[in-house]
Amino acid sequence: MNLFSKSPNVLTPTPLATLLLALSLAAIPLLDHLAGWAAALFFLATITRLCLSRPSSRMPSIPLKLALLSAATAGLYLSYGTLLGIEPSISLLLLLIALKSLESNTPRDFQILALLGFFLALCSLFFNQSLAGGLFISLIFILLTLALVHFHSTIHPAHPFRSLAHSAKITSLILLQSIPIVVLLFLFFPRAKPQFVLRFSPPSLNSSGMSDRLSPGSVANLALGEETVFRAEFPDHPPPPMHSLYWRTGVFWRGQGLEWSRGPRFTPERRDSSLFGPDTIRQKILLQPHGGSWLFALDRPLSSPPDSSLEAGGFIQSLHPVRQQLQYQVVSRLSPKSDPLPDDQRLEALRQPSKISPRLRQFVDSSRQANPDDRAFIKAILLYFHQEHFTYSLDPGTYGSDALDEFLFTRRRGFCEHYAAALASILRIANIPSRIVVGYHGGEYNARRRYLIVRQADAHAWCEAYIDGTGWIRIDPTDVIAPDRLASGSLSYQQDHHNSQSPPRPSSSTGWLQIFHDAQLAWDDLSYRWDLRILGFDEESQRSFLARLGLASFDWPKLLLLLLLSSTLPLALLILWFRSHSIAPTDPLRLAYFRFCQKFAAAGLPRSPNESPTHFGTRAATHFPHLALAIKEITSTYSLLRYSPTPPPPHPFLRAVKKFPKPQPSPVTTAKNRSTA
Amino acid sequence: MAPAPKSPIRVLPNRNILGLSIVLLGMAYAGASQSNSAAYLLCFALASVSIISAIHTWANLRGLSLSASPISPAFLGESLSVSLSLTSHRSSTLHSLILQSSPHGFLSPPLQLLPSQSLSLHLHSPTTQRGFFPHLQIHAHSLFPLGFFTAKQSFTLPHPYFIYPSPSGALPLPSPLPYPALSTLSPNSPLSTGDDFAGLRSWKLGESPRHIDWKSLARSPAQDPPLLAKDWSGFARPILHLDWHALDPLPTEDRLSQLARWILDAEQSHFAYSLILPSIPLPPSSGPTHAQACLQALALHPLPPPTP
Repeated sequence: MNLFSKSPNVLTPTPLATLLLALSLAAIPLLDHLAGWAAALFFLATITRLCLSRPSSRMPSIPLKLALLSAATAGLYLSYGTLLGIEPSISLLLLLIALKSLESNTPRDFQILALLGFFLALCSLFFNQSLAGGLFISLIFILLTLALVHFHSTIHPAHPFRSLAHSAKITSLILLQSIPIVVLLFLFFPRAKPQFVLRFSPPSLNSSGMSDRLSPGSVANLALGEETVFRAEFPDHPPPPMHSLYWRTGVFWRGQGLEWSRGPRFTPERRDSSLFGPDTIRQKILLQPHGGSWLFALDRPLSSPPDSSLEAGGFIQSLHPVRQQLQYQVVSRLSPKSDPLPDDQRLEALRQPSKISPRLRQFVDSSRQANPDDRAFIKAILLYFHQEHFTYSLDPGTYGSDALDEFLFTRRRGFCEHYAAALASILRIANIPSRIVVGYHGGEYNARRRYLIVRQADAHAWCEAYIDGTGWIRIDPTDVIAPDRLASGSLSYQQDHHNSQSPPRPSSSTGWLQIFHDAQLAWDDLSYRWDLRILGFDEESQRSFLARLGLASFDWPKLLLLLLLSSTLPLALLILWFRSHSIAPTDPLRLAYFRFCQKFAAAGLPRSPNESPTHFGTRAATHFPHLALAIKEITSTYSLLRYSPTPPPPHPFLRAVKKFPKPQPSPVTTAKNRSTA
Repeated sequence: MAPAPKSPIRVLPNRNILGLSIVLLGMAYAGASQSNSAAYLLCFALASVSIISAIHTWANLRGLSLSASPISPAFLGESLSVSLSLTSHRSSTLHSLILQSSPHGFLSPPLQLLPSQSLSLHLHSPTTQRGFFPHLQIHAHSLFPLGFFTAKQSFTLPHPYFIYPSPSGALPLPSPLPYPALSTLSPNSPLSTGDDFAGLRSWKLGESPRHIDWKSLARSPAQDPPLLAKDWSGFARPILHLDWHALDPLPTEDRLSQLARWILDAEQSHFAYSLILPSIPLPPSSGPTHAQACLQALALHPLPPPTP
């Protein structure tokens, strides 16, 4: 059976190669979300098509294509167990593109393939909308446009690179010219949520960050990550000092040694009415999607943004998982506030670990006897941590069943969660209500743009104790063990203490590292602006933007009309530009002669369109006898330049035309003009 | 070559716009349903690039002029040969221009014209219909740069042309009427007048000496050759009557084809012939002009009314 039908391949190789390159690049960001074999087949098909890209090569026949298509669908069904959902759909799309590229051999196929490429670019925006992702997609967009332009304008078939450069010029022109319309569309296209929303099974956003349990190592694992969690601005104040930058995320009430969990959910606190006291600080937070429901605010938040609640314990929880970038404002009070402890919370905060070793009990009791005052007791425990050679480590090893004892009395190595958990347990044994707070500490301040970047590496856990009459106070044992961790941030701390080969903190160094660090900050600044201005431009931002323009009353038909009217301006300008530029003599000689004739036209002697230069020259010479010599010279040189098999060099001619004076109307013609007038 | 008058350039979306609209709608829907500004941005970028491309499509046909030589007639079924000259008056290249003739519809391969370039083309357009055509329309269109819009411009070639019926038919030429069985001639009309050379005969005294064939006298080897006179006659040769009515049982187009065949054959055999059509009779004659007139008469024979 002949698997290949003999239809001529009419697609020219260079545009096709450009298109296939763009398609392959568009598939790269999707690789994590595809069936592996589908991606492999896609790239195989792309390369195969590229090798088939010769004028005489034969294309696969229809039965072969149908067999491949059903095999692909069946394969996906076997891989996923379903064909619905976003990941099987994208795999199917990619396989379809692979098959389409194999069979493409008409201009229409090329057009469809390019459109599928644009759609593939859209798919990767479902998963990643960051600035880097966006730039990558724009590269793909440019390549796809270039492929289309190149396909429709192959001019030098013999010089593929020259014609590619020519197409690139046209493409860049088109892209630049379309920028004003993109801006107008982006600002004024009515944003609204559609009535009918198709529910995809949500893309598996690997829910990163905090979890609902605190176990030894959980924060330390987080602290290895460098990705940005959120960025914060302080619109009313300078940023608070480092030692009060505690970002509160969750409160753990129930603990067993070093293992802590959320515990019961208490009735949410009442919102504080006196929001804007002297010690409050407003924060604007731009949160990266993390798939969980936690929101961040400085210790302690007084209000909660919309669609979230202020939970007992003073932390904010979103009502829905955060799957998209979220922007909110929150007000916090930095100093502790004495509020009564409800009985159910006191009970929970005093619940002792189920297993207390005699050694631990004896240690706590002796300390307690020496320090009957709660604050003094806490100080004594912190002093113990400080004096007894406790070390701070990201990698303290795993602890066994007697984790608390092992940590406190033998190994004495741990990360912030070990210390916080140990301290909270000790306080409970000493009958002081305590709980654990997780969140982030510090962040890097971008002084130029005045915002704070908080990364996973800043993940932190600390302890809170309730002192009667004072309220909950924050106790951070890490402050005692590794004060520089809190003073400079975890990332640089790790660099300083755990990787001796790595260079010291960039900000304190100079030279290349400084430049690198500045570049990083500048990049983060750009990403922040992208997130805030571009990704954050939603229905609400559009409304406030329109209100600032005084167009608050505009509904969507009016907006569309506005859009239509405003976009005619750049289009009209473009049409005018084409009208004025495209049609003109380009040949410098012709242009020069044209100007020469125009000088006479201005003096009342136009050259008629069908008049030969020689004839016109004679006519001009009789009208302007004083210029006759120069006219004759120019005219004869022009004829020589045009028609002589060995033309003279053009520069004397060009110079002569430039120097040629504007002919003054001779007395004869002026007299004639006067008489006719 | 005469420049062809041209219509304004029209830009219209073609069928590729359908796929584009689907992709744009998909992007806009993704942007709206997921509040995904990046998807919106991609949608807007693709939409504006397409809008701008429409203007480029229009601009790509600007400054194009076309001129053509007179079109020589063709027989139905043969191709019509058209000599065109395309000129660009532009400072930029004119891309992927496709020429199409109307009403016969041939497509040229995509052409391009460099700035101020002229291109001479000989296009062969298939013929589908006999008759007289006052002008040939050439449509120039281009999908440049993105392929979602088509710009069209029509040129009307200022040359009328004929398409003759295709010469076919197996019937032999009708038998010629014998010379001089010309009952239609009046008896006193002089025989020795006419346009066609009919042979030599001996010169008779009293005739004009201008009728003597001096050349043959000079060529003659005889000592005292007889004087010969050239005989001129319009009716010197057999005359064929190519009669529409003689082909009665045949359908119209077959009759026209047969007549065309006969005209060509008669012309080749140097017969004089007359053409008798229901509309007009053409008097007997011969020569290329007569043949052309006869063939044009065939082409102009009224077409049957279109069957519903």
